[in-house]
Amino acid sequence: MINLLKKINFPLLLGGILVLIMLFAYFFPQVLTDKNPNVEEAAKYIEVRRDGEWVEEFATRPFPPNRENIMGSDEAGRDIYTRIIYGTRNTLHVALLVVFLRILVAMPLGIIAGMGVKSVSLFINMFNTFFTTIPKLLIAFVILNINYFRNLEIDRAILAFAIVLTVIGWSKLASMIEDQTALIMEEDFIEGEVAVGKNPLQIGVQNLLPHLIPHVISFLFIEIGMVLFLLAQLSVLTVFIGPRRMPLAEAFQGNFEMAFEPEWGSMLARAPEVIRLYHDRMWLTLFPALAFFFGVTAFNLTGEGLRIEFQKRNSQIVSFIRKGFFLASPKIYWMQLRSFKIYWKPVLGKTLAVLLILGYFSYPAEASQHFFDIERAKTHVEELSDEKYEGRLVGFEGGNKSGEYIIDTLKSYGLKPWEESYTQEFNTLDESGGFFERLIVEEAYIEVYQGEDAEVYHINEDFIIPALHKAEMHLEEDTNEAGWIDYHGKTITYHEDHTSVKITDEQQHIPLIDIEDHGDIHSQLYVRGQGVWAHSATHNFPTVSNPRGISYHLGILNTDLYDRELIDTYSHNRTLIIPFEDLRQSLDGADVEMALFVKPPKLPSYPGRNITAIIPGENWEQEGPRELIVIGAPYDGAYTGGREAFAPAITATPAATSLEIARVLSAMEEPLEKTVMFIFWDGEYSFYPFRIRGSFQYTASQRTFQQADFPYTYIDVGYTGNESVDQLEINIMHGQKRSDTSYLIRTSLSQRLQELEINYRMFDASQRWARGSVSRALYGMNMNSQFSMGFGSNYYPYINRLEDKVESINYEKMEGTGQIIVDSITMNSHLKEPQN
Amino acid sequence: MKLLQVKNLKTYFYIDKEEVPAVDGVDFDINQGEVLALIGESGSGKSVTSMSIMGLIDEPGKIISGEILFNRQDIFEDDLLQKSDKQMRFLRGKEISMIYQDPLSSLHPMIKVGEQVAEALMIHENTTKAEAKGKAIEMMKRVGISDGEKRYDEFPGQFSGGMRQRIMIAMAIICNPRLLIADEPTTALDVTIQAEILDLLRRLQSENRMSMMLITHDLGVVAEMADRVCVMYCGKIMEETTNQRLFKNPKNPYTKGLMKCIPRIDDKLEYLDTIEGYVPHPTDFPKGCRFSTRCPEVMAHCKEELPELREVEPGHKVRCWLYG
Amino acid sequence: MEMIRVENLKKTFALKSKVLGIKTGEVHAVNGINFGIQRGKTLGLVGESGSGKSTTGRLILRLLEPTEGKVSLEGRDISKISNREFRKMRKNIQMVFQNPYSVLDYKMTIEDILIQPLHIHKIVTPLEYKKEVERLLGIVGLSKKDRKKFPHEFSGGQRQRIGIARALATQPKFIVCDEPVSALDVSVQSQIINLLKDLQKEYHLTYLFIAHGLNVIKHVSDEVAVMYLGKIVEIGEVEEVFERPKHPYTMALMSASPIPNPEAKRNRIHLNDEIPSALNIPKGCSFHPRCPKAMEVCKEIEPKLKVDKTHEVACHLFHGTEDNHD
Repeated sequence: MINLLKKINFPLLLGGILVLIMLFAYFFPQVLTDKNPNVEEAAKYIEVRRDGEWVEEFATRPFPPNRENIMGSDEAGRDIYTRIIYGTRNTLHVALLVVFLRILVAMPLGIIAGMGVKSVSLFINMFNTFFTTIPKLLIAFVILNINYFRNLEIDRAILAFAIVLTVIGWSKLASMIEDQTALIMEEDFIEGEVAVGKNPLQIGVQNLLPHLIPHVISFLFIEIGMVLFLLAQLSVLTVFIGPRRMPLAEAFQGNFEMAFEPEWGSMLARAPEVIRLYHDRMWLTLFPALAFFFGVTAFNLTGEGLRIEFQKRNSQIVSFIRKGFFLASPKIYWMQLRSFKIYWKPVLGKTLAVLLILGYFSYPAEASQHFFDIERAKTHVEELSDEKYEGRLVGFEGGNKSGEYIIDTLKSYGLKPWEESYTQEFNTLDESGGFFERLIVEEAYIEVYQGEDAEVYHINEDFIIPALHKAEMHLEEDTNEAGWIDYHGKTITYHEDHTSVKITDEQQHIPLIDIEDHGDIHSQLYVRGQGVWAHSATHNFPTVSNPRGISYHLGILNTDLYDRELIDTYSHNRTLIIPFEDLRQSLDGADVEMALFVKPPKLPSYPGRNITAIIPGENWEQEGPRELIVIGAPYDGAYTGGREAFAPAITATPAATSLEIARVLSAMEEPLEKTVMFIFWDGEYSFYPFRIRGSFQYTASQRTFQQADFPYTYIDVGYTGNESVDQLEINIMHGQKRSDTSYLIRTSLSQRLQELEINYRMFDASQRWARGSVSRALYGMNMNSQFSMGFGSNYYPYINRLEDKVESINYEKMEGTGQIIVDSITMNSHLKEPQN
Repeated sequence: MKLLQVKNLKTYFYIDKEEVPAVDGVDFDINQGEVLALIGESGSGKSVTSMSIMGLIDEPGKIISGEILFNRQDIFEDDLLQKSDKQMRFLRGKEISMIYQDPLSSLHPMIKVGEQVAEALMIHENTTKAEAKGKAIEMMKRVGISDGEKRYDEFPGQFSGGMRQRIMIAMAIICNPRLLIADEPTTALDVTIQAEILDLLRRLQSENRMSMMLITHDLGVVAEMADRVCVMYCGKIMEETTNQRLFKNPKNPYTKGLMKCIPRIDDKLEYLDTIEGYVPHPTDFPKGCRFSTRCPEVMAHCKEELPELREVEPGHKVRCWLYG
Repeated sequence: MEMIRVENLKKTFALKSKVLGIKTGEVHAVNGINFGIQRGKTLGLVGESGSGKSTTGRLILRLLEPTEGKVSLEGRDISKISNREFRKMRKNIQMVFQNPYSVLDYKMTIEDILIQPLHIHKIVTPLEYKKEVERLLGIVGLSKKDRKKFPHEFSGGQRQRIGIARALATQPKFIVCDEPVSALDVSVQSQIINLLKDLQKEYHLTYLFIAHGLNVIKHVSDEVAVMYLGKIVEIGEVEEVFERPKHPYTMALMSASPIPNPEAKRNRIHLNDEIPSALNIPKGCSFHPRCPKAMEVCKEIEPKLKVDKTHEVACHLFHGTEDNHD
């Protein structure tokens, strides 16, 4: 018995078990924990043990270890145990990658140096000396603390860290290999090998390597341990892998960055503060530190155990490996093939083995089962961009027609209506007296008086009207001359510091307002327009008051952007015009007299219509909650009737994409388990918040599902054909889902995107610097959803610009979007399978 | 007069739970003033025997039985195996000395050579440093190192192999021991130097009337130096007799084989005789006579039972079933 | 037919100061030697430590680079060819090394050790490796089953047999045996010597047999060369040299070799054992400080080896001083 115990290699056994546990956490994290590492809980009832009994207490984050969170939670309320388990993968990735790269560099260099090449030896020595004098930690910290590295997405970050740490640390390994090699070269048998006629390469591979391996392997494992330790150290200095975000608001002690991805290093980042200040929260640091301890121990022990194993003299393993090379050599295979009659057994065996291996490796990239046809989608884009829809402005004829087209298309695919109707209608006129109704101004002109002469300028040729004073609009449709809106006045400029301007006389004054040329007039109008649209003056724009105390009703905005961008007309509390070049020059300077005449605008005569349709799934007929996948896409645009140079192609892409997705899904032979619902939003195109947006109307109304009856996942299709951005932007929002599935959806989505070779960028809505690819629909629908994601952006300046044409759409990106959505619904088990 | 009597010495080694019988029941005597040669190949146990006599056996080795009776001047028949380490230290260097095969590793590289020789004296006798130095220089001259005064202050690294061996000898005999054990003293030396060293040893031995136990594998050395010879094989003595009789009339087949298979400078044969097979591994000794696996004259009985060491004629003992 | 010829072979090692790397001295390990070996014959090279005999063996095999001189194999100059070319030549020249315990890579099985030369020099096709290995093992007296074992599972004598098998694997024409039996037990030495002689007969091999023991040399060699401090001092047919040694060093060497016969007469020629350091080779005849018959001329002028008889010696005792003024 004692003999047996002596024969067991304890370090290997223990280390091996620990490493296996880590590998298990790496591959099957769901088995070890059912929580989502990113879900944050702000406050809840927890059960803790007091005096031997489970007692329920109310607590806010961070939660101490309790029945549900066995290791407590971090300051954002995320379960630490779960984060450690999921973090194993990321942390190990770095460590293993670093060591792998180091070996790749160090091994050949070390062997060459050890075999006598002085220049290489010198090189290694230099590196070593350099990094002995300057601590690795310091350099690593300085380099990796650069913003570029700090902000990398997790996969890139892992690679970047690995490369940096390799460059810093390869030399020690190389030096060790060099020493060992030199030692081995001193052995007598090397002379024998030379005498036999081996060249240095052969000696290196056949003789050196088997002798080097024990030392190298044990050193390798210990290196992994050291790298883990280095990562821990770097983290304490707040250099860790993965993107960061600002914590959600609320009572936080101080302002610090928190990591997004679960990773051990990032969990240690708060260590100094915790230890120094928050003594009652030691669990925040203790458990991540224990995780590192676990990892380092596991690898050290295993390394030691392997070294012992390899040093045993009767290593049949090494001979076996050598044999393996012989077996696998293609030359041998060829020879055996030629003498097939004699060697048919090994030939068959090898052929089979090769086929199996090839098969395995070509297997995983599963082909999409259903294909998103970009050509068909393109026809939808062409159709919807056609003149007859006049840009699909919500509430007007063109928009209504486009809605009809969509409904007809859906019907042709066999989609059923949700409940009875395909549409949900909403008001496009705001009866409560609010603003932001869409208007179409068909006719207007300006007269500029210079002495006796009057120059006439026409709308859409010489100027446009982004806003029209609501009170002054007539709601009747008579069009006698007297019915036109008119203004008279003199232009004035204002001071640089934008203070208010007092005017002495009673005449109407028309301020000339400069808008900074930031390239995006909508944002300018919106942001700057805080002052324009608001009732009260802001720091951006002056109040102009005259003795009557009336603020101006008409303003002139000076900007160049008018002819590049389509700007539509809204109702508001003042009228604004944007003059084109000629008119602007005429109006330049103060004290110019002018008059504006506007024919009463067309008001929306159609209701806004959200179109809803479903493809019933297997669960459609069942009792109880029926899980849905909801795909939403806006289909409206801005009025192009007056300015036909503009082609509203990008705004048509979401609907086009969605229609094609509908076709693909409806054409499936086998129905999906979940029911798929398509919503086509109307009235989404607007740069003003809320109100007359289809999604707002939808979610605010009673039409929203009851969470219990229809748990849903929402997929938002944005302007994916956007040419200006190469990457497909994806936004992830977690909705209600607390379990691990949402995290898994995210990671499986990433994987599939890579398989499809789509260039993407993924944001999490809570991330610090998530760019504006979030649509209102997504936000609105997310709240009650289990999980939401948005594809594409709605923010970019190419929309409704002169460049926005059918030909200039990034169809590749659009296709990618369509395909990934189709694949996710049809192939991603986390999405397509009902959770209940 | 018998100076040393070794009776049934058994020294075993315990390695990896295996019992290795390095010296397995060895008996011999050394008389005053005589040279006894222990000849054997690797694994015969000759070195271990000498170490056992000197009390230098350490873990994993152990002397499990036997008596080593040393005839000291004041105490008669003192069993060396019963002595403590401290007592043995008293004897070593003074009454019994040993020289080894590799002088380089036996000398301290950082201490002057002369001092090392003098030290041997100072440990055992009450002399002043100056006296010891004087005696050391004298000793160095005696062993053939001319310029003793100058070379006193040099370090071992500055001497050649033969010279270093001479220093070792100086250290060993400076206290005038009664028994000198020489364990392969010339194996590491060149032939011409070897001859000189052997001559020196013989001269010193007769001058000091010292007994010598010479351990070697070289029959030529035995022929030149020994008075009596013990042939060892696998931990046992196979034959014990005088030098003359060993070469003239070897009885044990192993001895005969050894004699025959040595290439001789004074004789040219087309083919050398050989002893078939290999020396068995100590953990793997054959049953019965240990030479039975290779013996050309093996009989059935040899494989069953181990023969005893018997005196077949006066002064000639043989362990072999051929002789009764 | 002459298998191998060595002309004016020299090897000098530069000693460098450890601190500054400056050359502090030179060791002339091999100082200009010449000999030739006929096919199928054995030349014994004997000398003590520092004689340069082992270095000579290594120079022929290019395990060390010669500083000067020429080595020819079957008339073809192999000392100037490139390393890559020489590697191909290694098929023809092999070596049996001294220390069987360290000369085999202990992490390789016997099979691997023997296959590698077969593979490098394409002796047989890969499919025949196994058979060839078994054949080689048989030649040297080991069993087929041994091929899966590791070196440490064998005794010294067996390992030396494996070393010989490896040398034979490339079917060489010429083998340098560098003290092949010095590290072995006496009872095993004769087996190996017999084996080497058998192999020579069977495969018509040519040997350069290096040893320090005169008795062994006598048994295996056809001719013998005696080396001292990097030079050959006497060379001739083995019977000749042993019966009628000419050079004082040779005579001293012979007299010093112990004879396993207590009644043999011994005429010991005594040399002082101040072997000069190879850094400081004495001027003139390098043996003169130790030579019992040294003359004045020996201190000044180096004697040359006369190259036309069957028994040549480099000693002023045998040449008129006039001859040495070349």
